[in-house]
Amino acid sequence: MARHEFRALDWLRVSVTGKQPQRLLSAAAQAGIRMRGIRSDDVGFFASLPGRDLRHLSVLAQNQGLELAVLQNRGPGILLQRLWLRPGLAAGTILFFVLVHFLSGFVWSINFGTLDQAQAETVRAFLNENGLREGTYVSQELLARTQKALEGQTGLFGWVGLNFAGGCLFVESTPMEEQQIRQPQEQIALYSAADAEIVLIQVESGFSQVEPGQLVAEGQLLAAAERFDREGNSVFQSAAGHAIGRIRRGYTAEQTYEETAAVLTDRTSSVKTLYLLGTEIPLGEETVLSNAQITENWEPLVLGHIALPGCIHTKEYRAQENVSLTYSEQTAQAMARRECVLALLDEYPDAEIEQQSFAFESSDGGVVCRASFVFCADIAVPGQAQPLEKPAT
Amino acid sequence: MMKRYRLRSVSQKKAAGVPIKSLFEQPEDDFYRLPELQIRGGCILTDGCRRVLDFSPEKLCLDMGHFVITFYGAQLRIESLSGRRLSVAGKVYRIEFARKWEGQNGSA
Repeated sequence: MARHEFRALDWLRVSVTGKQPQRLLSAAAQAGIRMRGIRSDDVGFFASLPGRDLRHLSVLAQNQGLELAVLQNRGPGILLQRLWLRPGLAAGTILFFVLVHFLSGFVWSINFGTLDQAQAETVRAFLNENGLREGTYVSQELLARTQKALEGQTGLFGWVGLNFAGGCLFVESTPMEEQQIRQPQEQIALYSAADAEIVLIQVESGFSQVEPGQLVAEGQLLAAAERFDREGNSVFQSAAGHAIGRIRRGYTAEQTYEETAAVLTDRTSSVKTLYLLGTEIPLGEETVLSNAQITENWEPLVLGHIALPGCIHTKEYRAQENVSLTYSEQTAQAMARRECVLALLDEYPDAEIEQQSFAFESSDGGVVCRASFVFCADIAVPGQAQPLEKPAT
Repeated sequence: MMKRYRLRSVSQKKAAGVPIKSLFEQPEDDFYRLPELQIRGGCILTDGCRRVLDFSPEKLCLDMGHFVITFYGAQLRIESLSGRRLSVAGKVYRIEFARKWEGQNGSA
């Protein structure tokens, strides 16, 4: 496009000089050229006219032997002319918006919202299994399928939603709350799970049958679901609550001096895979180690603080081998003692240990630990309520 | 005894002087092609200008067909010129009218 064609968009200020320049005014008016702000001086006149009429006016001036000069441009023509001379500016702008539109369909970052680190790792691993990670082109079908699969994961969330907007994948969730639904027809009573001394009784419903300080036997009724009013009629209410009892219990564990266990070795291998804009690029060859512990890690691509639509997946193998371990007397005793404590916590997870004593017996093959604990724990277990005997009146 | 006057409105008086016949007469020949001047907001608008005969800050002479109109003043300029419509701005001191062929002059 020639330079003068951009002038068609401008208003031009021209000067006309020569002999009897007013002749050009009449000729221009007859030719349909509209001029404004015409001022006369000693040598000619100045006028403003649309840029599209400049060529026509030039021809008229040339025919009449007058000189025409453009003094000033006003309008977008100059800007467009500069852009025309530097097409890279316009092309770059267009390319920028095209790329923004195109790249916004990819996942640039994943926002896990209120999830903690462990939950975020779990969800990230799950998303990766469904093919959703940084650098993935997101379609509605993929998003709906992944969300449906995520909702099917029981025990993770109460509610979970996946929203994708502007290149960011938002994982929104609410924590799961367990609500115990009681059957109204079934009458529940609380019974003691072990021989214990009652320390605290917290009955939320039902009718308590024991008091703090009282000794109870295993299977003894702690809270009943029935009682009798003054007239001897039964009043029913399912029992619920806690009964903290002091328990004395012993555990036995044996630890051998020699045993075979899988231990980590110094043989490791890792392979990295780059996921970028929907493509999967392996960064090296994968060396699979047998009997290895595998850890996976996803690292989003960032440039400073700017997220990029991609991530690096690192899969690390740590080889294990079975070796025969030999423990010292002291180590074997410590491990046997640990086993006893673990057995206690496995049976009573809320146990608060008040007293403990350990006795060890050594033999040729290993150590036997006999542990005795005095601890407090919840001993109330729900069970089917049995009808009470009606008191004699 | 009071004197009684007969009331007559001015419009009735004027209407009595204008013959009804004149209301239905045709206008003069080329009435609608005659040059036209309007003074509007400090500009003089002309319609029917055929040529600009002379143009300087003190004098603007227009060919209006049968007439030649000359504006005398200071800082005269043509605000717009499109077809046969022309608007004159500046300080106009005098306007002179002249018949092009018969040489009759008039001024305002």
